[in-house]
Amino acid sequence: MSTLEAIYLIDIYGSVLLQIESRGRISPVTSEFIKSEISKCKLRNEEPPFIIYHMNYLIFQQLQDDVRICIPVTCDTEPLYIHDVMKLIIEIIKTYFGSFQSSVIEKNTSLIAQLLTEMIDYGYAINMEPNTLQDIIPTPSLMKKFMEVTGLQSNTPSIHKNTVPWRTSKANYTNNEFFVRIIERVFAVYEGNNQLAFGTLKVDVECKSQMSGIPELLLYLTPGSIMENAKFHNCIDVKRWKDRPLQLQFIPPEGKFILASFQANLSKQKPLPLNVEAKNMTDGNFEIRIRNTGKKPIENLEVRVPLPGSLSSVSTTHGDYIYRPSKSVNDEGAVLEWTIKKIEWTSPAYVLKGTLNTKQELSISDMSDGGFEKKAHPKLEHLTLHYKYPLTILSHFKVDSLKIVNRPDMKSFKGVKHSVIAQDVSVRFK
Amino acid sequence: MVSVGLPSGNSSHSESSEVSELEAILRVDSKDKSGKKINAMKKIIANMSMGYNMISLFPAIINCMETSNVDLKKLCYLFLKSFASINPSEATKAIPVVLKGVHSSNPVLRDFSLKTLTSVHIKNFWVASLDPVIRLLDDIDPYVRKTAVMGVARLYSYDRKIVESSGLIKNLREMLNDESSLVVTNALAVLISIVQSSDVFKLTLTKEVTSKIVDCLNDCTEWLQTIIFDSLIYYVPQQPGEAESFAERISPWLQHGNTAVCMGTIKATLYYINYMTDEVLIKDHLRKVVPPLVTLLARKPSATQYVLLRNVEIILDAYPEIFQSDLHFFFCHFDDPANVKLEKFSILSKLANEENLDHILPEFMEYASEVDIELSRKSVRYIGHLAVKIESRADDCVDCLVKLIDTKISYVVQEAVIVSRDILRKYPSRYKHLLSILLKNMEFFDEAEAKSAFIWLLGHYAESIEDSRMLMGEYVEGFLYEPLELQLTILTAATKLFLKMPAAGLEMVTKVLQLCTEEIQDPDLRDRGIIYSRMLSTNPDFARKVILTNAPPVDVEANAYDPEMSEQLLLNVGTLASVYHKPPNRFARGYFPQYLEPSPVLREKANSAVNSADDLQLDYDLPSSGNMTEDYASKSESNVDSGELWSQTPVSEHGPTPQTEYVSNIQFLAEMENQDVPMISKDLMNY
Repeated sequence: MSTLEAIYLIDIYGSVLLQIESRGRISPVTSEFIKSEISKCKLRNEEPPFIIYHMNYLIFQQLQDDVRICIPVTCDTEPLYIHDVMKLIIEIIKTYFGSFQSSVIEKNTSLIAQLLTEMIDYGYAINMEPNTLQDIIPTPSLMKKFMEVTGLQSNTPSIHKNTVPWRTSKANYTNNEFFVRIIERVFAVYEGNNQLAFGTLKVDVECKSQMSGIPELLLYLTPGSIMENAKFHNCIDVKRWKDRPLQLQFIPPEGKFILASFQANLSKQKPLPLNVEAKNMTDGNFEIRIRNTGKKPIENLEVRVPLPGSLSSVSTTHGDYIYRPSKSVNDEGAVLEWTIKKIEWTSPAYVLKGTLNTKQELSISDMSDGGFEKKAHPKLEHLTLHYKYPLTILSHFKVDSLKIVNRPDMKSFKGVKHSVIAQDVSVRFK
Repeated sequence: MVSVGLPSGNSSHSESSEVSELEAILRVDSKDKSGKKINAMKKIIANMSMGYNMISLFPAIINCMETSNVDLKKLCYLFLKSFASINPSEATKAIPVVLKGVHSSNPVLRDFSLKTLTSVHIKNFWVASLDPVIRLLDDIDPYVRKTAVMGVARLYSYDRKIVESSGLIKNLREMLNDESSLVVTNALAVLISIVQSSDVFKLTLTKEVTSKIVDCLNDCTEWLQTIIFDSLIYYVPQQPGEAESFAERISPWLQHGNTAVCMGTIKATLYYINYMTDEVLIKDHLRKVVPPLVTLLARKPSATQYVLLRNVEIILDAYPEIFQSDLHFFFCHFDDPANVKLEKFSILSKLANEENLDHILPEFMEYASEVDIELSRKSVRYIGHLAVKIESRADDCVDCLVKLIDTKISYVVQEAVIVSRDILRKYPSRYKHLLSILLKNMEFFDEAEAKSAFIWLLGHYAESIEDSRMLMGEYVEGFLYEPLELQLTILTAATKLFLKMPAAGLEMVTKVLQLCTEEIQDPDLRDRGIIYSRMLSTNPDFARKVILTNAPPVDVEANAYDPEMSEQLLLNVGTLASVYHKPPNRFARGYFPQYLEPSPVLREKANSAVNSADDLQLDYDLPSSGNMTEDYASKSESNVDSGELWSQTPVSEHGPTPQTEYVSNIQFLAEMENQDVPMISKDLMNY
C-alpha cells in the first residue's frame, strides 16, 4: 500500500521551500538528510538516484526545473505510483501558477500548501483531478477576479458534490468545442536494407474539450478500427466498449487529455514513408541513403549516428550535419547529426557519405592484447531517426463521428487531425 | 501536519515594526477587513517560510480564527499547524476555537476544523478530537465523514490505545457499508494501514463487502481505485467460481490509462488466479494480464520500463507459459539504458525455446557487438546458456559462439571460454571441437574467471588436449602469483591431470601439493592440498572416484526463487519488493509478510522444483542504491567442481584428524557422488 509520509519541495541550494508532513512520523532532520545526500551526489558529479536510502525510510526524489520534489515513505511502496503522483503534483502546480520555478513556489506557499493537503490526505492521494481541485481551490487568477467583483469578499469554495469525479462542475463556454488529434508514434528497428526487424505503432487519441455542463459523448469509429492493447482514460465506459468495440462513450474532463492509447502493427501494406539504406564499406567508408517513398513531404528529419571513433571526412547532398566529438570518458561518445527540414516526395535520394578514422590510437588495453592490428576496422552499428509525417495514418484507426448523447442539438465536433511521428526508429548498418 | 518552510530561530532579524503592523491589521474588529487580513496572513506565512519568527502574532491569529470567512480561517489553521510544532503549549489555546468550528453548520468549516484538530501532533489536541471524530463519522456530508475516517487513522498513529479502547475500529468497519464510495475507499485505506502496522487486528473482507467495494470502482477517482485494488487481497475466495467472477469484474481496469490502477488490477488478478479451479479460465485470465504489461513497457521513461521488466520476471518465473507470443517487446532498442537491456536479456533467455530460437539467437548476436563491454559479454554468456538450455538447438548456439570467438575481441573470447565450460559440462563429448578453437585463442585469457574456466577444461579434458601437460605446467609455474580462486582451480586441475595421466602429471602435482602445504597461508587452499595429498597417498583409487566425478549437471534455468519467495513477490507486484526481488521486510520496517490465506479453493502450486544449489542465490543484503541489477547468471557457475565441497569440511589445523572419521567422510561423499563416476581405464590404475 503506497503512502506518502511527507512531501518536500526543496530548491537547488537545499533549503526547504515547502514541506507537508501527512503522517507526522518523519523527523525534522529528514530535510537535512536529503540535503546532505544530494550534495554528496553533486560532489561525485552524478545525478542523485530516484530512490535514496535512509535507515528508517526510502526517499523518492526528482528534480523539476529548479525545484526538487522529495517524498519519503516508510513502507514498501509502488514506485510507479509515487512517480505518477510526483508528476501530477508538478502538473497541477503548473496549471495553477504557470510554472514550477522556485520563485513561483516561494510566492504561493500558502496556496500550494492548501492544494497539497487537499490532494493528499494522511499519505493517500485522494483528489488529484485538476478539474475538481479547481472547484475547491480556485486558481489564483480566478480568485483575483472574484475578489474584484465581490469587493474583496472571496467566494466560499464549495465542497464538490459532483458525481463525475474528473469533471469540473463550473465549465461554461459560449463556444462549445471538441477536438480530436490522433498521433501515431513509430517504435521500430530496421535492418540496413530497409527490412523491418521489429517494431510497433503506438497510437494516442488526444482530445481537447471545451464544453459546458456535463456532456455525454459518443465517439464512433469506422469499421476495422482495431485497438490492440488499449488503455483508456478513467472516463471511458470500458464495459460498453467491450460489447461494442466501435463506440467509445465518455463524459470528458475539461481541457487537454489523452482519451485512449493503443498499439497497432506496423503493417507491410503501409510501410514507413522513408526508405533508409545504411552501409559500411571498406576502409571505414560509409554511406546513408534516404528517400521519401510516401505521397507527402517529410518534416524535421534528424539522423543521429553514434561513432566509434573520430571522423576524417563527411559530405552530404542535402541538409546540414554537425559532428559532436565525445567530450569526456564518461560521455556517450561522438555523434554525427544530420538534419533536413523537409523532404518532398518527388525528391531524389539524399545521400550522406563519410569516412571514419581508421588509425586507432594505441591504448593500454590494446597493448596488453598484443598490438592494435587485432582490432577490427571501425564500423558503424546503427543510426536513429526522428521525423514528422503529418496528415497521414499508418494504422487502421479512424474516427467516424462524434455524438453528444444528452445534447443532440449541440454541434461541437471540430474534426480529427492525424499525424505520424517516427519516435524511436533505428536502422542497423549493413 | 503541515509546516511551511523551516522553523528557525533567527528572531533577532524580525522587523518588529512590520510585525506590529500585521498585528494591527489582524486585530481590527471589522467584517469588511477580511480581504486585508487574508493578505496579512499570507505575508505572515511567507515570512515564516523564510525563517522569521512570527510567534508573537499568535494571540492575534487565534482572535482572527473566529472569523466566518472560510479563506481566512483556512490560512489561520495553516499557521496553527506549523506553529504547533514550534510552540506546543501556546498552541493548545486555539483548541476551543477549533472545536467551535467542528460544530459549525457549514460542512466546509466542519471538514477543515476537524482536519486541523486531528492533524496537530499534540496530546491535548488529539484527546479533544476523539469525541468530534466519533460524532462526525455520522455526518450528513460524505466529505466530512471522509475526514473523520482519516481522523481515526491519525489518532491511531498518535495513540493506539485510545483508538482501540474507544471501539473506533468497529466504527471504521461499519463505514465500509457507507453509501458514498469516497468514504468507503478512505475507510479501506485506513483499515489497511492499521492492520499492516498492527499484530492485533486482522482484516478479512466478506464476499458481500468485497462485492460492494468492487462496485465502488465505477464512481471514484483513479487514485482511490488503487486503494480498492490493494484491498482485494483481504478477501479470500471460499467457493469455486468466486475468484473467477471477481477477476472478470475487475478486468476492465486492466485497460486503464493510469499505470498505478493498471498494476493494481494486475496484482489483484494474479492473486485471484491462486483461488481458481478451472484451468481454462486460469489461462484466460493470465492471458489478459499480458497486454497491459507490454503496453506499459513501450512507455518512457526507462525507469518505468525497468520496474515493469522486473515484474515481468517475477510473473514469468511463476507462469513460464505466458509472454511467449510477445517476444518482440523484449528486444532491445539501441537507446535502452544498460539496466533495461540486461533485464530484457534475462527475460529473452527465459522465454527462449526450440521454436523461437530463430528469432532470439540473431538478436543476441546483434547485442554481442554492443559497444558497451558488459552488455556484449552478457549476450555472449546468454548465447552459451541457450546452448545448455535447448538441447535440440545447441548446434546453432555453438556455431554462433565459434563465430564470436573468430572476432578475436579479447573480452568476447574470454566470455566464450567461460560459457564453453558450461556447454562442455552439459555435452561432454559433443562439442570437443570447441576445445581446439579455444586453445588457438588462449593468449586472450588474462582475466581470472576466463583463466579459471580454461584451467578447469585443461584438467577435465587433459587426455583429449595434446599439450595439456605443458600448458598446465605453465600455470603451475605461476601458481604462487595467482589469486586464491585461481590457485584452488589449478590445484584441482593439476590433480585431475595427474589422475588421468599419472606419468605426465606426477612432477606437476607433487610441486603444487608441496606449495599448498608449505608455502600457502590460506586455510582453505592448504586444507584442500592436504586432503588431496592424503587421498593420493592412502587410497589412490578412492581419490580417483572422488576427484574425477562429473559435477552435477548445469542448470542455467533454475527457478530464481523458492516457492515462498515467489508467492510473496507475486502478492507484491508493482512494489519496490518486486523491483529488488526481495521480500519487503528486508528493506522497509513495520511490514508483516503476506501469504496466501488457506481456503478450500486455494490452488496447489505446481511443484516448482527448487534446486538446492540455488539457495546460494538468495542473498538478502540491501541492494546498493544505484545499480539494482543482479547477476543471477554468473552465480550458477560457482559450484563447478565437486572438489570445492572439500573446502567446506572442517579439518583441524594442528595434527591430523582421526583417520576413521576422515575415511567415513570420504565414503559418504563418494557414495553421494557415485552415480556419475567416470570409467577409469586399467593402465591408469598402476602408477
